[in-house]
Amino acid sequence: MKSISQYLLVAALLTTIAMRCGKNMDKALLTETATNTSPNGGSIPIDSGGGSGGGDPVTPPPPGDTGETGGPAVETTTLTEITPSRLGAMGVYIPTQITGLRGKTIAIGAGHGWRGRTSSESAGARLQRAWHWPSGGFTYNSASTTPANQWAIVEDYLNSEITHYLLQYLRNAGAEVTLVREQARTRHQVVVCPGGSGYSQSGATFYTSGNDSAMAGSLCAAGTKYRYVFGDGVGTGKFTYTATVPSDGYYPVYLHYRDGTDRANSIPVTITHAAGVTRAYMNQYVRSTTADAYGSQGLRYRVAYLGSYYFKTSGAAVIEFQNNFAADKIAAIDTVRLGGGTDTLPIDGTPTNEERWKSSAWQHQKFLGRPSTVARLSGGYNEDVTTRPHAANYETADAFISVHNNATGSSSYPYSSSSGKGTMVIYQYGTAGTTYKALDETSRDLGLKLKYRMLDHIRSKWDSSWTNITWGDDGFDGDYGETRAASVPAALIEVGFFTHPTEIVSLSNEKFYRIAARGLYMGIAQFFSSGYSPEECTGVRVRNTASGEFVLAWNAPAAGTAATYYLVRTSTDGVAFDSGRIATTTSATFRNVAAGKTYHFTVQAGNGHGLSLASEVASVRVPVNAGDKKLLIVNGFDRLDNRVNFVTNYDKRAVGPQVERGNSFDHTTTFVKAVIDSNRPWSVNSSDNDAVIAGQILLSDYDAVIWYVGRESWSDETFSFAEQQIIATYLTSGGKMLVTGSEIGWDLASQTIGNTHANDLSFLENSLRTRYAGDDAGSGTLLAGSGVLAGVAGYTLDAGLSGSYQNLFPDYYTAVNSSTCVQVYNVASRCAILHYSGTYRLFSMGFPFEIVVGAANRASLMEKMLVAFE
Amino acid sequence: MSGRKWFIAAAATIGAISGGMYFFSDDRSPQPAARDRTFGSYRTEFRKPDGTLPSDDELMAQLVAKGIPFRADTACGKNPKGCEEAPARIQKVEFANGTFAADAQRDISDKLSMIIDRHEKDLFRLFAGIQLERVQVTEQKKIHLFFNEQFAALAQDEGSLSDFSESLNELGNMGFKGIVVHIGARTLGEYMQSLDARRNAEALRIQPQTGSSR
Repeated sequence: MKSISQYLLVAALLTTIAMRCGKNMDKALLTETATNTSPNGGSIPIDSGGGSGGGDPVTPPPPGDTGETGGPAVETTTLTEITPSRLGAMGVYIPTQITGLRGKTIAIGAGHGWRGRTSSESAGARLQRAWHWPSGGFTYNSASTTPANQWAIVEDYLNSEITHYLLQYLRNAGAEVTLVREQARTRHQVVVCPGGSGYSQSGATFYTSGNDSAMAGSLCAAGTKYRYVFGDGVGTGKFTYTATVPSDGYYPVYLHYRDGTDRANSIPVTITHAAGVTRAYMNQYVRSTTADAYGSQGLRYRVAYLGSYYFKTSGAAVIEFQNNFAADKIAAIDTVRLGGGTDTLPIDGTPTNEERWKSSAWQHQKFLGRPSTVARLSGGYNEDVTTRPHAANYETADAFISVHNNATGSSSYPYSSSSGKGTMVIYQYGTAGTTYKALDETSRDLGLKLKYRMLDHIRSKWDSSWTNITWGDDGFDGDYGETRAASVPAALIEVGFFTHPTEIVSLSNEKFYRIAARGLYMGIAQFFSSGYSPEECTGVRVRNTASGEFVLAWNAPAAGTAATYYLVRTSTDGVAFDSGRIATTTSATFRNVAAGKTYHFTVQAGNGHGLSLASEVASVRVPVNAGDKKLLIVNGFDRLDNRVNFVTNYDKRAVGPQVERGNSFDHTTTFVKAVIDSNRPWSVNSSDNDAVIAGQILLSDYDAVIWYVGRESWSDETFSFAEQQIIATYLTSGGKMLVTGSEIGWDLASQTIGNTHANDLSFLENSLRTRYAGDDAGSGTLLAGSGVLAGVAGYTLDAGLSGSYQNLFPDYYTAVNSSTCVQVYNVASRCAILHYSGTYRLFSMGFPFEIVVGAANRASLMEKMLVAFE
Repeated sequence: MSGRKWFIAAAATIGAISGGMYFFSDDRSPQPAARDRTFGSYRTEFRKPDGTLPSDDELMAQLVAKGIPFRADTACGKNPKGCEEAPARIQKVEFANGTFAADAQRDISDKLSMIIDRHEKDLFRLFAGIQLERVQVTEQKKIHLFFNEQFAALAQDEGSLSDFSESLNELGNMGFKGIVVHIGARTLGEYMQSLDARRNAEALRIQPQTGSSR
């Protein structure tokens, strides 16, 4: 019988051979080279309307640095650069091979949002479609001006959540997406107006238009004129917007401008953000040259989305355009906006001052400067319903999709199983001889593809019996405002009924939102005769393989359309990611990496139709010294289906810059930072738990393992039997491990429903040396540590407002099988962390480590645990 | 074989046997479908430490935290005032021969009656005089709702029209192939077509002129 060590030796030899082969692959510089330079054009002619603007553009900062030491090694990688390029969701590059929805403009609507009153409503109303559901008693309040109750459904928000994912799928397929409502979830906003503070120009003759800026009288002063510059074919002329954001975070970058037939359709733009530099092009040419119901084409109010990027208060955001286009074309130099901002346009005399994304299409179209033909008034009252398709018409979109959910009744809705149920689609389909028009047939085609592809996907991924409402499949002449006014192919998808007992549960679930959005994307792709982008990669893992060398690897999507390449995004700080590089296999090797260097990665599968959504984040820290111990972080937190808490997630009211979703899939970065901050001599590898289960990562290769499961519980179960066996084997071999999560004890010891296994309790008590004492410690505060955690000060757990996620039902334990309690909650001395040191070493934590508030607290706790492992 | 190697080999053997047992005898309970149990049915399984039953809020928090699927209790048993009694059935529904069986005809009449009854208590009260004069189901299984001319006032308010239209979606489960709303002698589509034309012309008239210019 061969021993395990012999197998490992063979495996190591094969790995070495593979790595040697890999060294023959093409290499590209790992570090992006920023090319922004300060202008030195001397005296620049400014016409009479100009101002000198702000100072020179700043030289962009280097990518984030983790403070590691090391020589100036030239890092290399097998990844291939792709720059400049079109941009997809979150500012990722869209590789040239993607043709799926390239060239298509798709308008997306989501009802309803804050709007003014209609003729039948009382004055002063500021309306929001909140659907309050106070845990079992069900009431409806269509005119609430107060935050949603703790367990509320808010129709407006869930519609927007579906479109949040839908626009990512569409943009990653190469489409240009225009939302009739604001998309950004941050209330922060920074604006640079033409000629205003933060604006500069150089290297060409710049002119001031006689026309108003697209944001004159709104974000910019009344009377502000835009500027323009002619092309020179080489890009000597530059106009630059420099800003500092008020808070670290992701911000969409927009250019507000007015289009025209004399505008260039490929204007180079460079965005400098916290992860480096992204280069792309933008198109300012009119989408149609013919007049229509909105007047003659040209000078229309447009807003270009230039990607979303992480910006930090410590570094400038720089957006620079060049005049590298034909000499007979111009670039309109107008207003740059970062972020979403708040709605300050009065509604019936009073602004909401809520995040702009919560406002209606009518409010947003007014903000964008769209005329009365778009932001409709009827008898003095706004018409939000018809504003949505008019916005799509104004953009000359190739299709308009409105996402909505149904309620039955009109004002008092019993929450009952007699409610309507299922998915239906609405499109305009007139009566032959009177209201029918040729476009109706195209809209029907779009509508049916939307509905049936979404049904397929929901039934495949969520509920095999999801109801199909066939009403309207043969032609639906309901004359709904959302579709009747469209002059482009248009359909209104009614995803489900939130008056139905089953469907309301689905419609308040983040995982369902993503599934529904993917199905809608598939319908749109089919409508435009495109195939589908791949689904997400799995098993992402990264491991140090030799001195200064590591390998990032992942598994191709398990189902669906095949991937033919991968987009790998890199971060050095775990929050700001670059726009991506290409891999043609399921791994990438990095060499000559400086000692102590840390990287974080996400991977997106790609093919000719588009890119998938991003994988979870995997991280690596290269050893500082050859003798550093090896730590593996296993991400077992796959759960996304936490029911959305509309209060915690949406009504933070300026507390946080971003909406918290079910799972950010990046918590590995928190662990890595804590290891670095602990100043202990440990290198770090990380892996998705699926790769560990598949045997692609062996725990036995590591001196210690951190396995975190976050909020996993009944849903996605904390430790499957397969995982239990792997961990038990590792521990009985003398392993060292931290297990952390809020539901481990409850899931393995207490529950009698759902996913149970005969081994659960034995694994908890005999392997994890943990006895479950209770499901809710009743506290988010821990007292100072004792025993091996002596010296760890007390700390708190995130209440949902400190950047991770909300502490809910942290388990508390009692010692068993020679374990000891080393830290307690501040309630009744309930034990939060158990420690065992015997044939193996173990920390068992009744809460998720990643929700400990404060980097210093996490570092202190990590330091003590690593010392105990050394 | 050294002691350490023996230990590793033994552990590997145990792991292999255990793994084999797993792959050949997975005894996990099947995951119940999301619709299997109601919200209230979990209450006794989540007693508080003192043995009392959790409140709705407490139970909801538990189910959410653990991701346990459930279907909501219907309001009728919990809050009778929230459930409407079936109103008097609309007597005017005319079904073409062979379109729906007698039971289905009764269900359709009941459902439509509830929808119209709600509107008469709420939405229609905002627009005086609206009357549903006749309901006809054609051989093509299209349902025609014939309103009097007063319905035009509602149709001019897009928000109210949207609410009304949305309420009819409830009929979508009942086997219809479409719906046509009539306002007096015209269909809603014809009425809206002329209304849209007037509104478009007015909106364009007051819109500032633009042109392709620098």
